Amino acid sequence: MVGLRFTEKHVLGGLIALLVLTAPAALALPKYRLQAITQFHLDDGSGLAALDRRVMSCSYCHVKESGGAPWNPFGEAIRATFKANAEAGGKAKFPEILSILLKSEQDADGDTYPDALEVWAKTLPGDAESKPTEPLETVQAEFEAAGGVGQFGPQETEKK
Amino acid sequence: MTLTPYSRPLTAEDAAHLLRRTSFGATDAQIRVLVGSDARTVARTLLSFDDAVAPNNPFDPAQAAAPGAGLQLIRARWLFEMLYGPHPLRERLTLLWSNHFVVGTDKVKNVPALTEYLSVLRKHAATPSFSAFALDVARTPAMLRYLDNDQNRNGKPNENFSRELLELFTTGIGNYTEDDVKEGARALSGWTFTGGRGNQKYLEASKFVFNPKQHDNGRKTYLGKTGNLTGEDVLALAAGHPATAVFVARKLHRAFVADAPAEAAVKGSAETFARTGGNIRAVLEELLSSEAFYASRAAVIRGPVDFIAAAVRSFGSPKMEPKQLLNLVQTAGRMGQLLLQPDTVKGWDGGREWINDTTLLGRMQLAAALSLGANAPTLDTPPTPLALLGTERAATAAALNGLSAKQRTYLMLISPEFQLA
Amino acid sequence: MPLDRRDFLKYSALAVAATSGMPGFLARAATQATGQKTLVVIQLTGGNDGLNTLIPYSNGAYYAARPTIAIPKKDVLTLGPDLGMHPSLKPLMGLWDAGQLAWMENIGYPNPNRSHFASMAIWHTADPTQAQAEGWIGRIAEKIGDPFCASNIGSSTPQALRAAEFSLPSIDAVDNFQVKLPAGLEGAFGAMLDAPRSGEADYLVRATRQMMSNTQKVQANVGKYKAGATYPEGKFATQLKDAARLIASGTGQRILYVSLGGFDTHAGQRGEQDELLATLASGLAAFQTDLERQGVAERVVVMGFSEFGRRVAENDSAGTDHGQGSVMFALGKGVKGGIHGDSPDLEDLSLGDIKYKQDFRGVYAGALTGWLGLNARDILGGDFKGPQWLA
Repeated sequence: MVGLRFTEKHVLGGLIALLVLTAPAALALPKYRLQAITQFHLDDGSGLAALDRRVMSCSYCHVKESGGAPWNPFGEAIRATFKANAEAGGKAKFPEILSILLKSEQDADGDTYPDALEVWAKTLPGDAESKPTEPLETVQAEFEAAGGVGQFGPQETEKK
Repeated sequence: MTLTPYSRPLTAEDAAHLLRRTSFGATDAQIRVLVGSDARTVARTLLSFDDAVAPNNPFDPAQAAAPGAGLQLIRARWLFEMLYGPHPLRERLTLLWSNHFVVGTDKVKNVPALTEYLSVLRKHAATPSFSAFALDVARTPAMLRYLDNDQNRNGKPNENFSRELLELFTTGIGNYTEDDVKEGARALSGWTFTGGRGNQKYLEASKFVFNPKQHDNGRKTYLGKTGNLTGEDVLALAAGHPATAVFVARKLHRAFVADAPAEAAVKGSAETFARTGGNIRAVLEELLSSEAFYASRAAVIRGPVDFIAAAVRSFGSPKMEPKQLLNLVQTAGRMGQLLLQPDTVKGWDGGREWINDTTLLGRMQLAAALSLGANAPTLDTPPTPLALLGTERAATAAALNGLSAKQRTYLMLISPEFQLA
Repeated sequence: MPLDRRDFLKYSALAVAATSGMPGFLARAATQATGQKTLVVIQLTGGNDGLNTLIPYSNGAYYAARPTIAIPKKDVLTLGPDLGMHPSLKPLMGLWDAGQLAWMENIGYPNPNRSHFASMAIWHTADPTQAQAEGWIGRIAEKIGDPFCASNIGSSTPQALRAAEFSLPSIDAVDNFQVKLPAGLEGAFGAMLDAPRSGEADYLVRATRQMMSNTQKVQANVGKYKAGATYPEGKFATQLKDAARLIASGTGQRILYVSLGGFDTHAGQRGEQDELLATLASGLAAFQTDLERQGVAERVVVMGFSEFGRRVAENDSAGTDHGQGSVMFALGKGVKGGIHGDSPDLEDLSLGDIKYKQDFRGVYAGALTGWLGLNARDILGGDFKGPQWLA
């Protein structure tokens, strides 16, 4: 077999192309949700986080489970952050906007627990009924000890 | 004429052959357990499956975050059942029926509808009544939507389902007229479903309903019978037509005997089908313990899903990560078999059509991923030639000398023998 | 039924594959002479905002509707007294100056649909009534009678390339089209194939040997291609490079299809779209330079579209929501450069969207008759007038 040069590395290189997950464009998963899952460290690497609404449903930010307008207070806070950034001449994209919002120490749903804290505690920052059971100071201290808001910084996205 | 029974006790190669065809594949130990058994008894045992499922299936379509996610989860849930489930024959038959009573996820994206469709196929996998099966599947919202019978109304007929019912599900071409198609559509008018329409409602259940206002009550003539026929009448007439026995028997032979089955043997099964009133279980029990079945070795080219399930089951169903299983579903799709999405309502033709340059390369890459790759499943015992090749004196065996266990597995997976059942 | 249409089409497709034992598009790499014209379709997935692509910079209503995301006049690349390009499209200015870049304004269709899925299906099937299941390019393939005359470059085939009975192939990296055995297994693999067999096992051995010989031929052929331009990094440019490689190697496709996604800019539009348009422009500029160097620029034109434009007024997230009419573009030596159509009327809107004035099927018709030499009426099921965008 003249002309064929084989290495294991090549085999595995080829596999990446073949085994890549693909979904038709029309069925593409909502991209903001996927980004938020990654940025909030909710992806356990099993491949299921992207598909499962228990990890994050659309009502994390939207009023309806199926997404679209209107938004809950956290969704509205994200929208306002986008607008403020653009008004100041910024061109921030979603990951950066999320990070800016969480750093601002706002409490969108007014349950006294700041949004970043709720993200970390895995309660809903857009729903006042959903909040940590521990007192604010305790959760705050645990959050800071675990790295604080810095852990929700924007992450590099794939080049198109 | 019925089929001649296979009268000798099973050898190891007989048992390997049986499990390749009926269970995707099996380990050396699972094969050897059957040595010395009686063919009929083994076939009967294989066919007596209940509705038990694989424990800890990680894929739950009801929790899908979006319609596309729902389809991925449904496919992955099914593949998991094929790889790890207690009744591989039930799943093998479900795959066969999904390629007979075809629906496609290009049109049907509703999660409960697809789940219900699959459960109807499972329930009837070895049905005692093909007519009851055909009626049940015809009334699933998935089928009503896929072949547009939900649009079939009195005075505004839609003939899509009526046509495919005859052409692809029951009698086959040449056994009916265009008038039968038209009259069948009239009788089926008013069969529709409520709920679950539109992409947003991908998790909402839908339900079959008969809408009498949209039903054409007039006299019809269908396959030679005249009267105020209903949809139920049409299903019973089509499923009970003599040509249906041959058409369905040929499908079973293509799946279990050979890509190009012998017509004499098909006729034998068709007679059993007719004699038992469409008892698929009886037809299969006879077929899977027949001389014809055991005489036909390495005659079915494994499709992509079969290829994957055969490899994993021959390995002893080692644990794989959900991500890997999701990838395997997509990989089967790229090799030509995305579950629940055949190219057309006719289904996958299979056989040599699975094979072209791209898919052969894909099989080689997949084999490497499953055996040599960094994330290949960990095996306590390497699979034997009997498990992967179906025989211990395969042409390939000599080439394996001097190779490592992983290399042997890889080479066997890309051999012609593994790609055949 | 005398002849099953499904069978007929399937077998005609198989006939092509069977003669070579391989997908026809690659089989022809070894045999097909160059010379036929090629149309490269670029899909901007998600609904590209036409107003921030081709900007009505002299229109006060534009700036009034978009207080935070409008492109400031000083940044606009001026093309005429009313319209200019987004600054990210600078790499295309050379083509504009050479008269090889055409913009088509206010493109749409009757009864606009603002759903991504539905509107994309309308563009793919060229049927605003949504009755057709087959794509317009799929219908071309059936008309030509060659399922390999059009290919998508990417991983999943869009509906535009769906034919009644087959999906036209998607090419996802030509480099992977070769056997790469792990080290140390060459001898064993050869010995395994050499063992005597019969029946289907023998068929599989022959198919494998045929595949190995075919892939070697293909790699030798496409291996001759040397990029004539430096492509930017990223998937889109890589796919354009694969398109150039297929064209230069004479694989004979009449239509190649490449997509760039992410245009659904509901929030923070400037950050998203500025980057996407830069990716689009730098990729296309490299592609065009490459085609020139390969000596094939005369026989390739590029036509770009998106499923809809966006709302004229920005929303409260510094983004825009789904709209109706938008712009299309075309480039290449065969294109009649310039702006085809008027600056959009921002005073006369439909539900806040630009009203379409030119039917996209008229633009398709131009490509079909003017470039591919086909009967547009056969493909589109009617006569559609459109801008004269071909030279």
